[in-house]
Amino acid sequence: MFQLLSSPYILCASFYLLAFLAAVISIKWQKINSYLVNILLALGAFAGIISAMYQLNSSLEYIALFDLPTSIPNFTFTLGIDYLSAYFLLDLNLLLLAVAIYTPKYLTHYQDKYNLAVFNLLNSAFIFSLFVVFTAQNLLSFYIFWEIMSVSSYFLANFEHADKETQKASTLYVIMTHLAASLLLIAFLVIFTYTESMLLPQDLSFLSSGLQVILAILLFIGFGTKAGLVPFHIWLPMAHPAAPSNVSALMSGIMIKTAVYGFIRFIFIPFSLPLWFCTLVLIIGIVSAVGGIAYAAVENNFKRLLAYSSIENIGIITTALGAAMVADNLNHPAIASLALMGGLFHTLNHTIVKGGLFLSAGCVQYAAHTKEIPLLGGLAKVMPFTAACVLILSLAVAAVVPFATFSSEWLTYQSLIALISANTPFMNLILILTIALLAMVGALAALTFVKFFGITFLGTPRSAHAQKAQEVPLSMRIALVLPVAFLIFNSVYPSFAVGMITTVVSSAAHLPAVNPYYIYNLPTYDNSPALANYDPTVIIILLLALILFGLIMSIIIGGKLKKRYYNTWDCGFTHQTPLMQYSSSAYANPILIIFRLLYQPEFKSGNDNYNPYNRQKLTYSQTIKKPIVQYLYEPFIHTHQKISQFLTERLQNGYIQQYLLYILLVLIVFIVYNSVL
Amino acid sequence: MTTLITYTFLQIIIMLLLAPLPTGIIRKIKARFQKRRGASIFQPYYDLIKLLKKPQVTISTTSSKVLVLTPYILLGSTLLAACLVPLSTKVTVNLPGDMLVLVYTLALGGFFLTLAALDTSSTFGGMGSSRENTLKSIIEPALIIALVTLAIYYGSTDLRKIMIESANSSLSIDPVHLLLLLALLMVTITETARIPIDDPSTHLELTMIHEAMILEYSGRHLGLVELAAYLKQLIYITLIANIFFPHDQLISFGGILGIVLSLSILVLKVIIISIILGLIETNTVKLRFFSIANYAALAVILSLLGFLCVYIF
Repeated sequence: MFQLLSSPYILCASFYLLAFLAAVISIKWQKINSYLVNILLALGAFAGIISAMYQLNSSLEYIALFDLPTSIPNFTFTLGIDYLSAYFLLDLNLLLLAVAIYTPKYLTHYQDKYNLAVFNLLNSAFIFSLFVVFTAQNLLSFYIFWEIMSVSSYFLANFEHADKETQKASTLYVIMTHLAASLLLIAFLVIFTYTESMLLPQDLSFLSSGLQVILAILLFIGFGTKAGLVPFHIWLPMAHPAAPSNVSALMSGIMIKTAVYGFIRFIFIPFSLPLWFCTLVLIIGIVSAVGGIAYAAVENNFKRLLAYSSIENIGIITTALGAAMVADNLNHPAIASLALMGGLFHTLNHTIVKGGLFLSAGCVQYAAHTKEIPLLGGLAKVMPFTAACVLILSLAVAAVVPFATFSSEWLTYQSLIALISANTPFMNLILILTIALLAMVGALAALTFVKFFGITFLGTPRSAHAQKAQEVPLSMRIALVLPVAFLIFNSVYPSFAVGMITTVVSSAAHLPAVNPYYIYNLPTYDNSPALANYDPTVIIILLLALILFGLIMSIIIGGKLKKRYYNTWDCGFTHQTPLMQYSSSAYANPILIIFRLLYQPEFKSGNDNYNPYNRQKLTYSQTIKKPIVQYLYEPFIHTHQKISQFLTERLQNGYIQQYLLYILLVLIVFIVYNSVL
Repeated sequence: MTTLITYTFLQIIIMLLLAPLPTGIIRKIKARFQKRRGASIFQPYYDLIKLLKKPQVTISTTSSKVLVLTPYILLGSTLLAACLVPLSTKVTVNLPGDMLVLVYTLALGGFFLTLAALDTSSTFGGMGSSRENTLKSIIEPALIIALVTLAIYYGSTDLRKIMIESANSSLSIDPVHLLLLLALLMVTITETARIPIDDPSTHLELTMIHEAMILEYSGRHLGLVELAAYLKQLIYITLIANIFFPHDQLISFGGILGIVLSLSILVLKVIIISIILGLIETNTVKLRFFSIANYAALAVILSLLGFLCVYIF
């Protein structure tokens, strides 16, 4: 039963369980509880990182962890780790290490309002369930822990339960996630009826193609809801900002990645799907990317901005997966391999970057007690350390050149470009539009994060919130350094991560290993010696050298720099107030107007008195519409309400005579049924 | 390795020396069309040297480190992009970076420049920054479609490879190249902040974009930012010159002489394209900001048509 200490993974899992037990035992002593639980989680994370890295660089294709037979037929509690699981465990633990260091101090600002011990209890349960989701080898145990993950994250998202908005958001989340999970359960049961086994499906291509498509659709919607893909995303921009920031980091960083794991494990590997379905995945991916960043650009709440940006990034990852599926379908394994690598590398990068950004959002919230970008400004001067970390992470999430996020997007671009010359013209049109939209997503991401960083950290404080802000405690700053350090490592030396991903792709998805940054002889480019060539390490060294070159050149030409400080030029006015700076909504206004077909903005302005010469107070408001909610969810909710109303008014109206009539009718139906058949 | 470093260094020097030239030519053409004599075409050089020689810079009291760091990062990233543009096929070394790296390297500089504009807490800065990023987002698809179409046409995203292939193929006027050339010209005009998108000679007007962002820069910092802008302009001009009008097939001999000859023809082409840009600038009026979206849509459609033409012709 036990293969205790057969692998360091056991150590990792037992630390998680110990953290859970410690949280239960010390539930009375909140402060000790916080430190104890998070130290144990950090130790677990450390063990997890070491063991996952060890496995991914070794030839241990599968490590059996734990096998507990139960008396329930077909249900065994089996945990095992192959390369794909190990890769996602690495993602989880890299982020968890930062979150565990961050949590104790961060929680102190909830101290008198909420029970922190309960938080830690739920948090360790959440982490453990994530661990099992990535390692479960049995469909039922996968499903059970998927549900535990959903429920514990619901409670965590609802931690600030006194707030009405939070309640509403987390309720929406729990409804959506359970509807999705029910689809997963249906799919698992159908798989069981055909394979008569509850083990993870390895190959289901023997099923009829119609059944395969139906199963794939069920699984895609089930996982897609967790991922926050358009049009199943509506819970994400509400629930992620409502949760405490360390939970948002885990939710955006790793919980939505369980869906990526699900896509690869349950859709990409076992099925062989028709081209239209693969193309649909690609299209949903790119639509999510565009939609996510479009709403992030005009958002004023910075945690919601980050949540929308998560939709964008999960969209980019899904685009890569879609490209891999299309390539696989068209028999281009090398391109499929390249696309899958792009998707997996982006998963790791986004986990680190978005996790780090949510943690820093928590720092801002901790320091300034607000989530509204328009109230902030000038934080770089009072929180220089946090600002530096956020700047690096913002650059990374906008995917500009020397960062690892660009490297992963580059792989996605290359796979799409390689696919184009392999296909039929109609497919090509979709692919080139995908590439064009990816480029636009990149530029809009730059706009969004210039706005996020520029308005929040630069300029002068726009409110008392921002004026009173102070640098966050040391442990929170250390927690911020970790994602930045991981990011810089991945950027400077991507070969390490990419090498591990190559192992994952070639073993789990049975695709050929390609050298990603120097792509020779892809099947579609038989005539050309090299499709492309990109070496991030050389580019970074050159970039730093050139920045230094500029510095030295300017010193040689102009001599030593003398600085003179003076007010910003105010066009000759006497005094410039902070409110004269560009505001957050003004920054995104041109985008709002240019893409008004999407946002359908309504501007309203008014003043309280009608004397045009003595205006006391002017009001201005803008509202934007969300087409998915408006045209997809609202009619559904409306119809549902109408049907329920009809049922309660007509069928279930409280007259006992009518109920007796129903019983009689049912009886008659049964009698007729039995006598006829 | 040493040859790589030497050539990269030489390329940087050439690009730096050539960078202010197009602006000088465009200004001269503009002046001539306005029946003025105009300043010498070397005026941008004199301005730059004067700015770079100033020992003192004035820095806004409300700013943070971003304002001071931006000129260096902007120049560094633009220089990196300049290294990635192939100047001549006679030079056989190549940096490991392709067209996507080029585009996203310029994005790094753009990110910092638009941030620095917000750092001064001036209204103009925010306005310029917001507009610059908006323009980037709507023009980027046209640029990427055009470049990717070239990549598919010539079989590589590597710019040097594209240049070699286009030099080897016979010069023909086909719809693919014409449409892509037009699209890239429109992108160049947008990215280099010229009329009809932005008027580089305005100062303190509500229509300005690039000038609004760099309003708070002075002294050598202004010089560095201006130099980066000139470099970016030269990068786009060189791209157009080398991909659409290849000349290396005309030079039969290699060696140092071949390289020198090839580079002097390149300078000639840069001058001609600058003159054409100047002519475009004198013959158009500035667009209203919100009608630039139509201009960008036109550029996207042109490059998309170019892409479709690859499969028709």
